[in-house]
Amino acid sequence: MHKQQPAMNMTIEPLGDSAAIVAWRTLDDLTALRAVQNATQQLNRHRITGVYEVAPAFKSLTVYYNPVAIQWNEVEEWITSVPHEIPMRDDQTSRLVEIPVCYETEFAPDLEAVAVAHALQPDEVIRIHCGTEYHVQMIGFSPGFPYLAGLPPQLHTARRHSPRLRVPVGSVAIGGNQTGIYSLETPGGWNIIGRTPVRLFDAERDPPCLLTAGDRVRFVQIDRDQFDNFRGRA
Amino acid sequence: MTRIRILRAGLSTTVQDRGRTHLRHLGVPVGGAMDLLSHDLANRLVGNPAEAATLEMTLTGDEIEFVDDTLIAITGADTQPEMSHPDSHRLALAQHCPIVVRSGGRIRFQAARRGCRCYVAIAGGINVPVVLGSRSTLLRAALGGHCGRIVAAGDELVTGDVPGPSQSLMKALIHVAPPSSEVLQPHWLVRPEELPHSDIATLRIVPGSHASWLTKAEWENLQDINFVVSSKSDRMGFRLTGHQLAITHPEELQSEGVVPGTIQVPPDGNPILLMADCAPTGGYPRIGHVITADLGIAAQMRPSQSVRFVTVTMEQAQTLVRQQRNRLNTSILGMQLALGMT
Repeated sequence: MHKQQPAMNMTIEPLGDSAAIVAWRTLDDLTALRAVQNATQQLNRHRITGVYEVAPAFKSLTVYYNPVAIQWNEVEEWITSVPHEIPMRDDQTSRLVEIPVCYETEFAPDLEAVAVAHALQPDEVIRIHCGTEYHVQMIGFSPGFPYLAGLPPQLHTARRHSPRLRVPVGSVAIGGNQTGIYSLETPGGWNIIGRTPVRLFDAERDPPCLLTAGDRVRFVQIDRDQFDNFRGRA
Repeated sequence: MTRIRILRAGLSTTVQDRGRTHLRHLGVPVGGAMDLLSHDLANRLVGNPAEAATLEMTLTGDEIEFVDDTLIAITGADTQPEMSHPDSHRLALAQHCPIVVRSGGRIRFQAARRGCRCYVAIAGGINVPVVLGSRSTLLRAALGGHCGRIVAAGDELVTGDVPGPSQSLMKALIHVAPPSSEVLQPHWLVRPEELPHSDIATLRIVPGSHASWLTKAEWENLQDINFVVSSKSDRMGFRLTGHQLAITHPEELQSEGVVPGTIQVPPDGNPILLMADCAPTGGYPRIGHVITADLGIAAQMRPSQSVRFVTVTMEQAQTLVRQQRNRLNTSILGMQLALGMT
C-alpha cells in the first residue's frame, strides 16, 4: 500500500435484525474490490464482542452479529469508527493462482454457442478466456464458488434461458460479465465452456477453499490427457 | 456415551446444531437447526449446552431404539411421540420436558399434527464428526451430520460424554418417579413458544433495503396479504405463492448478503423467504426480513399454509429476541427449581 484515498460513497444499512451491509455501490469494480478488502481487514482487526463474521460480496460486505449480545446502533457506530481509507492499486501483494482448464467439447457444452454469439471461433474464445488476469470479487453461490471480475467484453454472454439442474463440479462458465467455477455439483444457469480438475472446495482441507476474495486468477489450457493425469495425482 | 438405533426413518431427518457462523465469506451457508429456539430448548432441557447436536425431523418422525438408559427431550412440531416397545402398552410422551428412557426403550414419532420440525435432544449431544466447525448436515454439499445425508433405517448414532448437568437432571428425575417405569417424565412442561396455527401464521418483519421498490399501497397493505407456503419449500427457503408483488426495478442488482429470514422478490413477483441453508448472498431485491424472534415460527410452517407479514421497528425486533432468550433461561431455571436442583 503506497498512498491512500479517503472513504467515498460508503453506505451502511441493516440486513434484518442480525446483520448489516456496508456498500460502495457507486465505485468501479476494482476500486470497490479494494475498498471491500480493506474494510474487511479493518473490521476483522477491530472485531467487537457479538460480531460473528465479516464476509465480502460485490461492492459490499456483510457484517453478521448476535442481536442478543449487541444492538444495531452499537454495530453501526463500530462500523463507522473503523478506518475506511481505500488503498491505491497494488496488485503485487495479491496472490496469483493458475487454474488448469480443459476446454474439450465433452466438458464444454456451451463453448460453441458462446463462440457463435460473438462471431468467434471456439479457439478464439479459449485464447481470450486464457489471455486475461481475473480478480476474485467474492466467494459465494455455493461453498468455494469464485466470482471473477475482468472478463473481456467480447465474451460477455447472457445466462442460459433455462438453468441446468446439475452442473458438473469443476465446470468453468460465463454468466453475463463474469466468469466463475462451479465448486460443487449444483443447478446453474451460466454457459459452460470448460472444466478444471482442481478442487475448489474440500471440507477436509484447511483452508477448505482454494481461492479467496482479492486473489488474482489466470486460466491455463490443458488437454484431456493432462486433465486425467491431474485427476490421477489428486 | 449412549447409543441410539434408527428403526424406521422419517421423511427427512438430519443431525443439526447451531450451524457454521464463521464461513459465509467462503460461500458456506450458516445452516444448522431451522427452529433454533426449539433446538436450544431441547438441549437445555437435558442439560446440554445449546450448541450440542440434535435430530431435526421434518413433517414425519422416525422410530428410534435407545440402547442405553438415556435422557432426552422432544420439542418443536407435535409428532405424537409414544413408547413403542413390543412388551409394553403404548404410552404417549409429553413434549417440552426432560424424559428418561430406559435401556431398550423405543419411541415412535409420527406425522406432525401441528408444526413442521420436531427436535430430539439426547444428553451428551449427537456425536458425529465436526466438519468446518459444526456437526450440522448440509445436504446440498453432502457434508457434516451423519455421513452428510438424511438419517436412514439401520443407522446407529452415538452421543458424546454425558455432561454433569445431565447426570444431575437424570438423578433428580429418577428420584421423583418410580424406578421401575420404562420411561420417566415429569408432570410439568416448559411452555413452548407458540407453534403457528395450521391455518395462518403471522411473521413480524423489519423493512429491507428495497422495501420502497414495492408500490406505496402494497407496502402499506402488506399485512392484509395472505401468502401461501408452496410445496417447493425446503431448508434453503420457502417459495410463497397466492399473491404476486408488483415490484419496480429501478436498477440492476449485484449479489449482496442475505440472511435466513430475508424475503426476496424475483421478477415473477412470488416472494422467497430464505431459511437456514440459504446461500450467503443473493441478487434479488430484499423487501424485508423476518425478525430473529420469529424464525422459529417460520421454520414450523407447513406447505400450503397461509402466512402474513407485519412490520415492526428494528428496536422492537431486537427487544423481542432478547425477551425470548430471557424466557428460555427462566423456563430452564424453573425446571431446575421444580426438580430441587438449585
